[in-house]
Amino acid sequence: MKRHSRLDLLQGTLDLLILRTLETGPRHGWAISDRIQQISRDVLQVNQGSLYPALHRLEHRGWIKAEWGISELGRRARFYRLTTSGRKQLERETDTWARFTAAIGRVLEMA
Amino acid sequence: MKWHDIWLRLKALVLHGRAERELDEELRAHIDFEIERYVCRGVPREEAQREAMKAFGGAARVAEECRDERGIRWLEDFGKDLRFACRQFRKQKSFFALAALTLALGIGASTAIFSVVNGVLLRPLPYRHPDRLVSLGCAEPSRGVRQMGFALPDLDAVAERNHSFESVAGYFFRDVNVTGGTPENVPGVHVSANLFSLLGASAALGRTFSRSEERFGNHRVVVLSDALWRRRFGARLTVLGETARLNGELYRIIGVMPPHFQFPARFVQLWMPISFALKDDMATRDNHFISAIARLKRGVSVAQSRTDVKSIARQLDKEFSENAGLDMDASDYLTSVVGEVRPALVILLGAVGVVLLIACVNVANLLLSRASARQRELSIRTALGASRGRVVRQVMTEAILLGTAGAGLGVALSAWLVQLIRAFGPGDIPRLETTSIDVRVLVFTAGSTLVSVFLFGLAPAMDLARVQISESLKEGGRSLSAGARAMWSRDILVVAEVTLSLVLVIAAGLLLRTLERLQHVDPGFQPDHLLTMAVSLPETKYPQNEPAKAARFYDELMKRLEQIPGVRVAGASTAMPIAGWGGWGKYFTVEEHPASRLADVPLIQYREVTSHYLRALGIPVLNGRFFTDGDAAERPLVAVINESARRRFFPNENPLGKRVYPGPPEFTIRNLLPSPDFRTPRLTIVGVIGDVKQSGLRQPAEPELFVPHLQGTAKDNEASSPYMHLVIKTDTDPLRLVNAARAVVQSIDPDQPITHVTTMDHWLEKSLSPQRFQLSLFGAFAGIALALAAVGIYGVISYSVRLRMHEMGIRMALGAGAADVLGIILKHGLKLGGAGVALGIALALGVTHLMSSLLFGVKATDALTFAGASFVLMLVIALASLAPSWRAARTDPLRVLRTE
Repeated sequence: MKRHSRLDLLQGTLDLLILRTLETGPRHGWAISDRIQQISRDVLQVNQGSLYPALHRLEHRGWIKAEWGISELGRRARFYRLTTSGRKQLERETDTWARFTAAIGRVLEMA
Repeated sequence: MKWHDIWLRLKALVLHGRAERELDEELRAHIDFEIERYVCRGVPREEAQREAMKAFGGAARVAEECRDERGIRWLEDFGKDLRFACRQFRKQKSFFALAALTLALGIGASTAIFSVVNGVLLRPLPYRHPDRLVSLGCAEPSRGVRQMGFALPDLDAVAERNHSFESVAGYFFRDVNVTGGTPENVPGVHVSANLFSLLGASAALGRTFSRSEERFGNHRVVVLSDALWRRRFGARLTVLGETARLNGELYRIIGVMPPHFQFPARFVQLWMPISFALKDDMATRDNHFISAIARLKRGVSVAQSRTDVKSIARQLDKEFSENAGLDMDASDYLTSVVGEVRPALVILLGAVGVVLLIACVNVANLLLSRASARQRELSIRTALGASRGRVVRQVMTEAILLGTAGAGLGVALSAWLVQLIRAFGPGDIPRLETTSIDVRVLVFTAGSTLVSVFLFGLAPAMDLARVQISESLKEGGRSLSAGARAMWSRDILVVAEVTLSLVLVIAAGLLLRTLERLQHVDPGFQPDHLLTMAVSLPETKYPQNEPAKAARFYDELMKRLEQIPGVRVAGASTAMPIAGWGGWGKYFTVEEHPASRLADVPLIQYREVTSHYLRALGIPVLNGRFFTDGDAAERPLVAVINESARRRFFPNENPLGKRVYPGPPEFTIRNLLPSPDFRTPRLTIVGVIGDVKQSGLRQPAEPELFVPHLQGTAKDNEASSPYMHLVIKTDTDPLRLVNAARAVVQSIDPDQPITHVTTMDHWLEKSLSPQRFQLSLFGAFAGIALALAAVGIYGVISYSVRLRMHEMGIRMALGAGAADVLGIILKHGLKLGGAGVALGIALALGVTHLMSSLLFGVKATDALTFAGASFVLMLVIALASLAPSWRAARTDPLRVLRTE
């Protein structure tokens, strides 16, 4: 299903953030959102309503893989980990992001 | 990547429950973590829970979005629709059953007929590139002979002189007595050596003919069919090189054909080369009996080859006086095999298409009615957020379910019908016996199903999607819409049904009258208690140059047959009436006024008969006498003609005593005479007998010339034929005497089998079987159409009654009697029916001429049939309208007014 309009850009960014967060090791959904929030110093608050659909989408694309495990709280949780193709995708998207921000920066500076 | 996606989606679809639970658990876990975090910060647990839920933003929607990512939406929706449709149908079993059955009837009948059309007309022949095969024929249009075989020298000429064909081959039938063991008569065919390679067929065992085997002396080789090889030769691999005694001669078996090979028809069991001795009469230019088939050269069309052979015919006409007036033709081979039945089958296809249409219309009406009843429900759905597309899809699902059920039943029904048609169809429809359901047919079924689904599914769906929500949800709004337009379309559909049904009923009626007319045709003789059979004497034992042997055989046979207790009279002829077998044409000259040119010499059907033949059949003598035992070879040669011959050749004079002869005047064939003093023996006409129907009851009688069989021994006369058809008049059931007759034949010649044993009644019945078959089919279709139209009318009237219940209630409360209500409703039905009948008559008038080739003795616009059919239909309509009107009249007005 297509998610149109305002969420488009954010959807792509969220994917990137998730992939990056998982680069350092497998996490479950809540932990991913917590980590992003932490590192961005509460600037980026992941809307939980977008997190899980995003996770499922990434799983369908084969970039992350899920399996059930036991969480810190002792209850079952679904852990996601990055796959090889996910790593490659992360590289690609990081690269794109870098170029994107650099371009915006140049315009802001020189226009 | 994409495959991974699809795989996960399928997994989610299939393991639906588990996926749901996992998602649920995952989301729950998330919320728990969130709660813990709040609690850690010191927030009380309850508040923490509330906050967590708020932050999460509506678990249901999240779950929904996840599901969207995960599943195949349209498939899930379809699954839901399907389950809903099934529930609906289970609740209203009778409706569903009626609709599915209607559809099954329409699809089943049309698929069965299409299978037959495909198997007989459309299916390519089982030869190499069958569309390049061409059938060649001769004709003598100036003499009124439209179709005849080739003479061997003419066929050779075509083979040599043509520019259009890769190869040309000839063939002609010959029944073969196979002896050495149980004597058996087997249908065989003589073929040119190149025939098999022309067809692209080769032997499964051994080989087929080589050119050298066409030379007389080398020609005694035979190729067997697989069936004959298995049946009579024990399927031995060593059969090659063995000999078989065919018609008294030893033939060497050189090959066996593969199991499904057939040429030119399935009943042919063995093939022999075409080969004639040098002086053989049969190989002359004026004996036309060979059929021909040719293969077109690459890039040549049938039309071009036709021009080619016609020019060859013109050349031969000029070069040889025997070929005066000769014409030739070429046509596509498949057409020549099935051409005769094509019009009938196409008409059948049309009829069954009409039935299918009626069935679809009926179901459309049924569904329309039901859909209207659901308008309220659908408005609610729309109000709850269903898109228009969704609503349409939901209604369509019902149609699809119905269509599939109907098609499934229909295919089963059609398979059964095809079996039925194969078993009971007239035996002379070519290729019927190998017809079956095949891919083309299944495609046709699928196609017609789709069309029906479209016809009756989409229309009401689109109609409904335009529903006015506010209208239907209003308080007090009736659950049935009184949409005038919807009512209109239903009415029109029913009128269409009635129209189409009437056309079919009229068609069936016309065929019924045709059959009845045919059954009353006078065959010209007494057909009861007649045992018929053929006795074919082999050439080797009864050679042509010793005609006395054959003459004596049959003479003795007749005498001995008449001595069997239970036999009244026995006769024999070279031709069998009604069955149309045997018989050939000869030139005919009346000595007093001979024709001046060969091209003007007329033809007559020539028959050799025994003296009791007339009495055996009970043919009346109109003038003079028939043959007596005294008309033997030594006496003056006599002949008898039939009434048609008298009318044609002696319209204004008494033919008795006139001299005639079965040949052209000698001066017209001066350079072709076998010997300088040859004279065709002159015959004196001693009698005129009544006409007899020679081939079937439809064809008018042709002029016939009868000569006594015994006089075949006279000098220069046509030799007594060794192949005769017997007719034996019995006291009781003819078939009881078969064994006695066989014993008598074998008492004269122990090796002689009898063939084609049956009764004249059987031939009569057989000649009517095409008509009977057509009538049964059309009758069945008309019956189905009538039933469907009745159901249609019933449905529409019932529906209209339900609609107008309120109105009727008011009327009755205001004083209208039950009879008045009955009248109103009934009038509606009769109006619809009347319109349908009127339109039907108009349509039929325009259309029935298409079936005139099937009719006999009755005009395509026969008033009696039209009137009768209309009456039947109006009766059915009246009855169908009566039931619901009756119900309407009996309702309690108070009850009706109280509801809603």
